[in-house]
Amino acid sequence: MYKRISLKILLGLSLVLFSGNSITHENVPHNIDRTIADKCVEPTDVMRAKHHIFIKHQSNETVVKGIRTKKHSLNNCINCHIQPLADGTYPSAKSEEHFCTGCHIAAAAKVECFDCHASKPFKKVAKKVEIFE
Amino acid sequence: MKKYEIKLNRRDFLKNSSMIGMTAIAPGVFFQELAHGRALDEPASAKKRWGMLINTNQCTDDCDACVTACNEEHGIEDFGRPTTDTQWIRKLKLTHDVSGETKNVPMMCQHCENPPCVDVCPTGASFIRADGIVLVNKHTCIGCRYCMMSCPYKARSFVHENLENQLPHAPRGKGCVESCTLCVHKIDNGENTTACAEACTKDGQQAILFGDLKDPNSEISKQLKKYETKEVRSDLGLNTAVRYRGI
Repeated sequence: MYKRISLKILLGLSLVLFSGNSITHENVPHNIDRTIADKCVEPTDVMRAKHHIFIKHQSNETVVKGIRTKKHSLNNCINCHIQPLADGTYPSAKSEEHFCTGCHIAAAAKVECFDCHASKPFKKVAKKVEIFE
Repeated sequence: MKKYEIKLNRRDFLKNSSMIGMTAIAPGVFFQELAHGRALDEPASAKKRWGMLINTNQCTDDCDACVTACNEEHGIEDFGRPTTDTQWIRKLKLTHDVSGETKNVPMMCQHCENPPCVDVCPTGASFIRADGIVLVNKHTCIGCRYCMMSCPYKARSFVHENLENQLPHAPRGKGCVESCTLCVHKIDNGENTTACAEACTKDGQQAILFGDLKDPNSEISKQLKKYETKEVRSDLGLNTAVRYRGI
């Protein structure tokens, strides 16, 4: 009897812990670059639910029509959200420390953007790493 | 003395005031267009057709400024595998059979008006933009390489390698076909030039001229009227946007 109750408590606790973790994304640093903007282009809950729709829509606008507005562009996301680590380098798109990848690992959804797209801010990278040499 | 009476009814008033308004706004709109190209939120329009004029008389053997500039601009790496390495622009050397005269011809996507690559693309990834630039939509490209086979200029490359450190303005990845974009990111940002033309002007032989073929006052249009120019494989009727002098 006690065993059953303790099992239930354990299960309940782990569920609470697990769901809390994946919803709040506590393990993912999502600070934004305050020198660029004070807040994200959309409210957090909207971004969580619809960021992929915004990005996909923007990609069509840009590639096909040549519209280069910055609000929903992937480069804009990267410039703000990808912050340097303690050693000054940028996290790899494969590591959990990367803003996008960290969340996508927690949500078990594969992110394919960075097979082709830049995963770190370019201007800041250029200062630290000489790309062409 | 005759008195001049001003009779202004509602209709005339509206007509005149709208005309004054137009004359006040028009120069502003015009100058803005000159200074910045089009706005970031404005789509590319068919009022322009971007093209290049390459003067092969000025292109020399020992210069590869255009190729280097293109590779740097788009982050194109050399993997030491010449048969499969990506090339958006390459230099050809033509030798005349009889006279032995040689000409250097920078060759890249010719941005045809009737592009065969667009005709054969099974997914619609290969497309021509409103302003005449032929592009690959890499979100739709399945890497079948039909377009590479159909291109008479061998302008397109398939990415065989896993890539890293791509540049934000030039997304590139394994499994897609790609080619010269006529530096579409520069055009969209209002710079209205290409990396190769810039490099050729600065470090090279001033052989590449970039401009709007539909604007009669652009330098390229003036030169096209003044000099004899040729399309490569003009027999195919593709109406290319890249034209050559001296071949």
